[in-house]
Amino acid sequence: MPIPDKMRLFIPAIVPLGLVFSAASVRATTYAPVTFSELVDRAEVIFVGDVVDVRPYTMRVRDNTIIKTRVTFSVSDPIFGTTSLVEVFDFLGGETGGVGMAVAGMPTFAIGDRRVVFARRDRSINPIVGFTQGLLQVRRDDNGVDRVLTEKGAPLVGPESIGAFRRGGYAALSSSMRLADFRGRVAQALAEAHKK
Amino acid sequence: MRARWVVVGITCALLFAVRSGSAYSPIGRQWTPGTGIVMQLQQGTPGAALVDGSPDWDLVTADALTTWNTVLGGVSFAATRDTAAPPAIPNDVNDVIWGDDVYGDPFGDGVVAITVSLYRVDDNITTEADVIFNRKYRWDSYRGNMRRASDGSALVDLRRVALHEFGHVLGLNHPDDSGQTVRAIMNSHTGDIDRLQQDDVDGVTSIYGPAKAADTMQSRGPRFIPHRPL
Repeated sequence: MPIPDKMRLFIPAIVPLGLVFSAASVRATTYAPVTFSELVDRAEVIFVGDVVDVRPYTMRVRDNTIIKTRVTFSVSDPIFGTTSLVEVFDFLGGETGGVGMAVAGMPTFAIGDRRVVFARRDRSINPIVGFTQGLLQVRRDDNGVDRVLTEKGAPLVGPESIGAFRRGGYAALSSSMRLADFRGRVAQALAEAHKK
Repeated sequence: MRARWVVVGITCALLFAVRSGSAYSPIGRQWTPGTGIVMQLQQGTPGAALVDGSPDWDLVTADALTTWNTVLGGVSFAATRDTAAPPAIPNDVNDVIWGDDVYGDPFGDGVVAITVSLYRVDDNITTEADVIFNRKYRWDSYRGNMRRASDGSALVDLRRVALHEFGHVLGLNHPDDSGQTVRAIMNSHTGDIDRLQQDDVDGVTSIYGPAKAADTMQSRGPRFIPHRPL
């Protein structure tokens, strides 16, 4: 079939773009992610909350001086393991007195952040289940619908994609799962895990 | 003909945008230019022979440092060994150690290794970086795809994890955490990639500049400097 003249115009574009996008879809690495059911199973507390306080402090441990950051959430939707109005967690790292301590990949928080949190109560450098995978952003779209994104801001299409290979590039917010739907899936998973 | 050139131009712009969006992820902190970053290797000797024949853990991590040195400009790694020195933070020593915890706190869920860095807030200059490998995992040293231990658990390759952690020491973050799809040792999960990738090299080059042939240690092998007293 002959190629129309108008289509011929785009031939110089199609070939290199095809090469780039095929290369971009190559799987970057393999790993054992935390699945959604593992996330629910390992979490001792699950809630939706707003960050209301972020407070770095220094602490002496043995011969070390470490910096931690205490993050306080106002709990707007206690899903599992809590009936409190606030939940408080400590994370290794922070800035105080002109000195910073950083841990690569550690989640960071700002007052006003809204999050879905899957956490453990036992003390550790980071109480979030799966390090960052159990921390999800909540953002309101232009239509006033709350939607769920990963900790780094990638839209969450469904709970099954938590911890799954990230294809890269962020899609539109409207492609993210609605918070109400996500909450329903969490409740279902809790029931299946007999945690509720 | 003119329209065709317009299409080619738009294509090039798109290509540039795609490439720009799919690149390394700097943390935003770095060592002072010219610094020799001395890592104190303290992991000692394994209980059994390693798969790749390395006689001890410190030579594995020293090799990872040397690998980074082949692509570094502006700063370089050096290594010293002292398995008896007590690791601490802050102590002006960049400790590379096994750990059951991270200075008193347990590792988080699923953490294989961690780099803890100290920096000055006013200019984001790194002043100390300790690398702690989680002792609870099964470790070895080998090339190629990830392997499993005889009990079915993951057999973690120290060399590739060390390459990753030393990338954090230099100031690189996880590109896959920022929505990128790239082949990189710096991606957040250990996998079949066992050596530095172009994206990793581009990352450190963006921070410290390109490596100069005379600065690289490729032909010199691991460089241990005499033990520096604490």
